Amino acid sequence: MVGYPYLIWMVVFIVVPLIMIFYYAFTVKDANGTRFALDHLMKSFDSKYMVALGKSFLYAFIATVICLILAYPLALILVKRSNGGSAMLFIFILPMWMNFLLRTYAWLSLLETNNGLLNTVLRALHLPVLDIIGTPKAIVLGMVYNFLPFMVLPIYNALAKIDKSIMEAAYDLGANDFKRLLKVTIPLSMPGVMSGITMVFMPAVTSFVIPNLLGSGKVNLIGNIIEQQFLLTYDWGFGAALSLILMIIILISMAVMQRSDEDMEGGAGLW
Amino acid sequence: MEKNVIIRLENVTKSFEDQVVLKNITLDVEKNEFLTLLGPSGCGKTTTLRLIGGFEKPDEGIILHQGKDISNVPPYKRNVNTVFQKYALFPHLNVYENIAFGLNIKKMNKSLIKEKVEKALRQVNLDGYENRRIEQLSGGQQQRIAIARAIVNEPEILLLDEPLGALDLKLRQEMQYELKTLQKELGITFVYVTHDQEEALTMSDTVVVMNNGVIQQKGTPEDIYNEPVNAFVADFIGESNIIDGIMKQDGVLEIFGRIYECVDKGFAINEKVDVVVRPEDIKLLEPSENKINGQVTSCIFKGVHYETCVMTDGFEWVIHNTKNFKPGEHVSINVDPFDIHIMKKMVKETGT
Ligand SMILES: Nc1ncnc2c1ncn2[C@@H]1O[C@H](COP(=O)(O)OP(=O)(O)O)[C@@H](O)[C@H]1O
Ligand SMILES: [Mg+2]
Repeated sequence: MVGYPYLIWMVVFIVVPLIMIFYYAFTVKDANGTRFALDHLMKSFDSKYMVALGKSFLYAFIATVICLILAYPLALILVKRSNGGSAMLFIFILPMWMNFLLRTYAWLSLLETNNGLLNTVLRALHLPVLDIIGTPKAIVLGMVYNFLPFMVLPIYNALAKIDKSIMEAAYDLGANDFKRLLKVTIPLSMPGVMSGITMVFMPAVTSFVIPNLLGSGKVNLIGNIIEQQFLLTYDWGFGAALSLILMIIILISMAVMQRSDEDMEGGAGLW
Repeated sequence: MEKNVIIRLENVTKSFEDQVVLKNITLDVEKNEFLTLLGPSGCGKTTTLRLIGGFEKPDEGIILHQGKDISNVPPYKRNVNTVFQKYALFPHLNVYENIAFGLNIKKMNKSLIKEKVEKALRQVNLDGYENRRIEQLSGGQQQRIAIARAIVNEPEILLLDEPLGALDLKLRQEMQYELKTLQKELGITFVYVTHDQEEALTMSDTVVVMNNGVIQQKGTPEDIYNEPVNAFVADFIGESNIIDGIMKQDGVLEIFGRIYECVDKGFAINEKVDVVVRPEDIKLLEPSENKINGQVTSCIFKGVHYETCVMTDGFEWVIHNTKNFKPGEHVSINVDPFDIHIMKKMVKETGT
């Protein structure tokens, strides 16, 4: 009984959209009406789309790795501060309250080749200008900037939860700072790392605003292609089929990651 | 005399923010002794232990290990291991991996590690538990694993911070006995922290009574119990009657306006003193003219004895005896001169 509101919520926001995606992906409309068909799915496997899919995964992967490399030391520093680094953490979260589009536009105006703030300054200093708008570099930069807080927060939370006496026990048993990081801190913060990776990788791999703006439409990622099917060519069936494939690949990669995490928690591989 | 001292705290002072937690402490820990820091909560026991472990640095004074200053040596370079108050086992490792942690850090040979871990598990009576996960263990078992994880490293000194605090009474008594046996078996120094005076008296070779960041008394359990140096120690170590008195001259004491014979000497004439009488040293007899007379206010059966309270001249005495008195009964207080302990008045704590 208590579960009803939740159930309704699930049906409205998850089950219905899923059914619609399946419906559009597996049906075609022609003169004879609507019928079941695999046409959209077959079309999705065209190399053009597979390349876009591959690029999406590659850029999202790079962005996730960079986020992890930046976020982990940052979270460590924040947790070590006596007040839990709350003031610094606040500064980090602040941009998240700004609209996503605005933030990305801000980067565009910073990096623009001709009138961008950065290049104006570089030119004034007689330094070579930076021409990265419209390249994968700009896209990855946009992803890292936009999604970094989603990596910092879960890692920070996981680190803050580790009992101080456990850290002291590692010291007590002869581990120096580096060994303690390797054998205690990192393993105990893995749940945070895992959710950080998920929370960065998911929006990065499906992103279409960032490649649109910072890639100035020159780099087509899977998110852009899906967006175009719905908003430009009105081929909802094909868009649904691509979404479905993307979703399945994401689910598989998440499952693989979960498994490798559990293997690590077994501890056997730690030494 | 110096040769047996393994750890010495010399004039150590430690503050947190504005609060002085340890005030000029000097303490010798001797090799292979079971030394207990005893005192009420907040008196600085844990801080003292953490100084020895290397988790805190003294603000003033030094810490010597066999004569060498180790005040700034980090914990991982000290041959000291700790059993933490909340066990602090690694939740991501199983029992075997927890115990092997320190040996793995030392890059010890795998088969030797296995041998040592198994021996440590036997020593804490948990052989066969190698593959258990930590959250599958009871509090008592976690405590034993924490002890095994420490002793497997063969430290010179084992620090234990109220290790039995979270266990129920029966298990606690069992573990007290086991810890004492273990200490003898290992032949290493134990520095043990507790606020439970009974635990301290049963287990220790040496008891150090602390209050407000100051060492009150150091001695054998017998010394501490029989010859407390001040009213605080007397009261903390066992229930005591503490009465204001005046030392008229050597061997002559005035309490409640009456003159008593006692055995203590060496006080100034007419010096104000604390007079301590243990509840079990008082005999209740018929009232008579030149004794302290009073009325029984309560009498409660405590298992081995009755705890009787008697009110005389506005002071309530606690007496342990074997006879059941009725409230309202008139009695007199009788104490053998040898059982009257006279102590210098404690210096009043003034905002230090
Ligand atoms: N890290 C710390 N920061 C601030 N105050 C502390 C800290 N550690 C201990 N204290 C204070 O020092 C006093 C003594 O603490 P502690 O040594 O833990 O006492 P005990 O173990 O005898 O109960 C307490 O008042 C405690 O609040
Ligand atoms: Mg304590």
